[in-house]
Amino acid sequence: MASVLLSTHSSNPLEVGSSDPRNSHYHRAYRKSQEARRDDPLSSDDLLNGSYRPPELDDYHEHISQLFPGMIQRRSSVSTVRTGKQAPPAYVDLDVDMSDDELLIRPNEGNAQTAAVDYNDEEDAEGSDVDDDDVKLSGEQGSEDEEDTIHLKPPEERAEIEAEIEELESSVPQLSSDYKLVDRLGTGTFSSVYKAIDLAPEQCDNTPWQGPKTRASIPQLSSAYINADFGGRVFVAIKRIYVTSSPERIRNEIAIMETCRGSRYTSQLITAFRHKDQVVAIMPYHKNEDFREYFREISMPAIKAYLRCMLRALRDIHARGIIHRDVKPANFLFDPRSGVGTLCDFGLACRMEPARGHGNNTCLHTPPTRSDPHGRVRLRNEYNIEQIKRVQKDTRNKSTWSSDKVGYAEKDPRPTCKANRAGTRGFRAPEVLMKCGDQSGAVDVWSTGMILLFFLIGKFPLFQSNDDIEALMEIAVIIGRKSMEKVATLHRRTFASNVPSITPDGISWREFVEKQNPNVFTPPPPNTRYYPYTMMPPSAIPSISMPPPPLPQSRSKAVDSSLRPKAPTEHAQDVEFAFSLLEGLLHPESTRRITPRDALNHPFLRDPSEPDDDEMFPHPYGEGVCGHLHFMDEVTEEPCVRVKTRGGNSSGSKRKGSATDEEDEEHNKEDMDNGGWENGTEVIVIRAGEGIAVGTQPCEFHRDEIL
Amino acid sequence: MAAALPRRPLAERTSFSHEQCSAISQNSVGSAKRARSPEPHPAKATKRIRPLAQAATTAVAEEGKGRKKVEREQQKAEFREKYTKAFPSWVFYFDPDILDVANTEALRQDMKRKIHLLGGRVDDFFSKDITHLITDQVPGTELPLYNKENVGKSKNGTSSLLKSPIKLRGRIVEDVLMDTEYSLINKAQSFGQKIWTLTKLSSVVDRCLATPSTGQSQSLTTSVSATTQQSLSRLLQSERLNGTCERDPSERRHDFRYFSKDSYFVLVEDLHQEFATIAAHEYPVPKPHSATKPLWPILHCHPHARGPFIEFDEKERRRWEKTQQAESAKEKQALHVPRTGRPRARPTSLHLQATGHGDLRRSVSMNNIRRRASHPNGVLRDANLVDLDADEYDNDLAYASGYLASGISGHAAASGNSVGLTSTAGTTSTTGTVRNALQLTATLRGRLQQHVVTSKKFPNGEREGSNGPMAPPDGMPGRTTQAMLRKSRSTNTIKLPRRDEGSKPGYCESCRIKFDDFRKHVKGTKHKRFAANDDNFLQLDFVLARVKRCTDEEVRKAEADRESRWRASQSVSYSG
Repeated sequence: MASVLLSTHSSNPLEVGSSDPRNSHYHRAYRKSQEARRDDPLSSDDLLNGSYRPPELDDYHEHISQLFPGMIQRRSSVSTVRTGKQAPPAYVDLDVDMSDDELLIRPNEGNAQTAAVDYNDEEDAEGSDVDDDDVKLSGEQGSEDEEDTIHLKPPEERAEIEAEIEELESSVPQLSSDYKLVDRLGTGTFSSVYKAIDLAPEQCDNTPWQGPKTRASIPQLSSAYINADFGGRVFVAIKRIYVTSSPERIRNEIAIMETCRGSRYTSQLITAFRHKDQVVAIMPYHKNEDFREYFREISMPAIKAYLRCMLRALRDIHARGIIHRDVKPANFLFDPRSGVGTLCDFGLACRMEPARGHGNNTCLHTPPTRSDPHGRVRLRNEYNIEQIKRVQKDTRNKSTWSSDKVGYAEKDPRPTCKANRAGTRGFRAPEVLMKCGDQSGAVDVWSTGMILLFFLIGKFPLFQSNDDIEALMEIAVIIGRKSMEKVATLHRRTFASNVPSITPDGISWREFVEKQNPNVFTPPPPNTRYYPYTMMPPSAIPSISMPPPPLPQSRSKAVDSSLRPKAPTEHAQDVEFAFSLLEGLLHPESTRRITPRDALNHPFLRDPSEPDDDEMFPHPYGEGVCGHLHFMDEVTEEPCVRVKTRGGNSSGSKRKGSATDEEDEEHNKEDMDNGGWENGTEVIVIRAGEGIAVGTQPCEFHRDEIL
Repeated sequence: MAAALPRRPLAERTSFSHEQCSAISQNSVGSAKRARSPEPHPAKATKRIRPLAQAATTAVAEEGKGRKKVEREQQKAEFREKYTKAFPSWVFYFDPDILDVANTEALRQDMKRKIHLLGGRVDDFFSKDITHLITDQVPGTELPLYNKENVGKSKNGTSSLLKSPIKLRGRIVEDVLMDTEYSLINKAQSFGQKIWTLTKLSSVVDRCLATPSTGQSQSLTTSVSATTQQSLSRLLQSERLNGTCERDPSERRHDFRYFSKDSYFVLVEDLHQEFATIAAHEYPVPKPHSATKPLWPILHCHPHARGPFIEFDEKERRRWEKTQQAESAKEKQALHVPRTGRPRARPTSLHLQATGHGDLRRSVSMNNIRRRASHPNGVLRDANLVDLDADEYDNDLAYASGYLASGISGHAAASGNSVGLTSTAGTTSTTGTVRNALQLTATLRGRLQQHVVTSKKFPNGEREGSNGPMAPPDGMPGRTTQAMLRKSRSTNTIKLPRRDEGSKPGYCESCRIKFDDFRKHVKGTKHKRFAANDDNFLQLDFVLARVKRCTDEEVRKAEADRESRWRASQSVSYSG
């Protein structure tokens, strides 16, 4: 059923031939998890909203694999087992979503017979799934639909888009041989994005942008990357960067996207190429909806799903030294049906670099470091505390003076303070407005906090922020004078103002929300079009053809208790947690703003049924358990790995015989010291996105060697 | 060196100072400290300040001899006074090689700032003009030298000779000649420069600055004594050099712009006053009972208003009621229409889009007026595009080019990207440059306020007339006029203007020129020449090569290659 949706698209790691040695591990792990699932068809550890979320059984799988190591050896070749139509699952097909995302977490894949699916049986698959599909009232688009979206637009616009497509195809001749452009997805400040069909995806090596190959027991990883496949047709997004952008700007964006390969829920660069001045970047197409369409209607679990995807994306890109700088709903492609979102548009992204370029613009906090991703306040002996206190006092006095006594240099001979302020108004963090020279990923976290505000308040946008001063003042009237002065000092600024609406203590973000949305504790009516209701069995949703009833009481009668949207107390608990997280995300002091990693561990987002996020964290290249075997070529900047020579089909463990793991490691090091592949290791140049270690696991190249 | 020699006769004074120094370092008694203050000071003083230093020394010497157990506080004050006097004539040089310990950089910056504060100078180049070499490398070498000298001369007790610091220099020269290990230090010593450790410098500086606020307030409030007068003159000097931090804040300055009386202001400045004013803005206060709304943000947080800063007044109430109606209508409709297909028409979102930014409309146009009025010297504003540092220039230029393609024309396709919410890379708007309503002419200000009260329409003539640099180019799908008109249309009939990509004006980052017509520009010879030259894309091509999509075939081939190499190696090793 759902498993047959696994198409023949090569983006599916399961599709890679089993002869591929790298992939065989993946297959093995996948099958292992299938085995495990058979034993546990109805996982009960679903704590989310009583909805039938596909069970995540990682811990269980681990356990099973320890108990029955033999299972791992069960590796019948995929092509030999043809089951055609699978036996009906032993339990209700919970997974009615045909989303292309959650490929590996479908309970019905747990069926042993389906473990080795005939992936060629795709036509049937589509047919068999239709019945389930109508549950999603909004109508899931098939690939046909996706191809024809342009016809839904007014003729005028259609003509315009078609003209643009034609122009693009003529200006980049190599485009039309590989892609068929079908629609325009959007236009931005520096680019336009088009939807296209990848004409021959299977002829390409797609491993670099499909994310690390991990055990199937880490289901989120697969859904974090693969989302481009629609019933066998692979859609891509083609970003046409306007030719008036400087080559350096384009280089920056492409290089950053290359760095971000392997980051979860992050738009992956498939490739990019240039013809004369026209550069196009190819990325997977992610289905999404306009934020304003759903942000007031989706339920708590969906908000959590949104934030989890966002914060995982941020965690991963920040770990790679990248600040997105333009986090906002428009740059987060969220599909409210599947609950999967993808961070996109790295046009304004930058690298966190020691702010040497900013002259003396040093703050009272450090630049981001590994241990302090948002920097930390400098030690007392690193600055003159007396002087700062004095200036603070003077500034405070200034705020009380008569305005005509307060002035500033008219023709200021001093240098202008420079700091990156790229971003969108209303989403800029205080430190950006203060022109902090050592900005960190904290600016993205602030923007994420803004989005949580939209969800909780139910309004978008909230801030006017026509310019940076207005933005600063809007923040000031909320957080109050004291906080504002603290922030100013942190970034080596003074903030003086006599504007009466700035109170000494401001209000908490919680208060800010509650005042504007007194109903925040009332759970919203379930909207069956949206996650997680899209994941429910048809029978569980009582009024299929009815829209969500407007009033909670009429709703609760019909819905069976397990599926009822949050019991009020449960919902209230969620809101409380959300408030708590909100204060962390929107902490005015960047150094004290919660990091994405900590946010994912926050009670609001931590899902006990999932493994810890650290377990799913794709390490930056050269880190993780096998990091010492990875390096960057100093000249070409290409990633390289040192691996045991893969001669024939012998695996590392066979060669080692009874050697223990430690000896194995020792041996590796010896090999490396000897250098060269004659001694059993060789250096392979790989591509960005390959060779990424996840959690405590080694990357796909070292699976045999480090266990 | 030659110059130093004639002064040798007076060398004894130096010895005194050295003795004192060592005494201090050994026992931190108050009296010792007091003595210490005068000495290093004259010793380090250059010719230029000799008279001053001399006077200071004498005074201190007398006092010191007179009462051995003077109050600590007074000594501190004296120390401060002497050093403060001498500081303006000192030129410091920081040994660049040595300061690599953690946190030293910050400390050094701090020291530099404080030196400036005291009127001293920090030179980036080592030269004869330097009076003090700051280094951490040689305390070991340095001290013995001094100590030796101290031992030798201290017994003389000719402290009164100290008046001339020049002696010291001559003396040092001699000693220094023996030391060959540290060339920089040798040089410094041969020039007769003082060699201080960073710790020493910071101790001296901190003591000088220890209670400057009280000292200052005294100088400002109490009758002006001779000493305070001196420090005042220095203060003024430092003020001229460094800005306002030490001046009497209530005193008006001719080179300052002051906020107007009874207005509200916000002023963001660099705490260390090293950078130009970060942000300054003034809000005129509307007259009581006038209908003019305040321009500064006020937190209303009304549940039915569209935003937290929007007052829920009659107008807003009507708007809210309208929205409610539209929503209930939509819900009704949804009830009747079986929800089989994905709703294509999006009444809510369009409605939101249409109504959601009413206030932006006002403020945007307001700001445009304000900006245009406040920056008649448009060139300066434009200069922002250029004077940004390397990191940012990209972004800023991008903004310029971004103008042409900004989401203003309202493509809903970019999800959630409301009309007013497009990314800006480095807009030149505001922060960093200073806005001030004061700069508006009275009439304009009047009009501006009127504009808020009476009509939301943009005064068209105004716009044409004062098309400042912040204004979008004329033909733009504007943030102002056009956008407003469009948004003012009935929400039902709202129709986004057709996007005309071809005739967008903007800025080409490659050619570094503004253009009126996108298409014309990119087809022009200049741009074409740029596009045809691969050299311009060298770095980009380098990255593009790394992300080139490999065919499966290529990958297989590479793998096969590796395998065959391995086989070859196997056979070699077997045969070997």
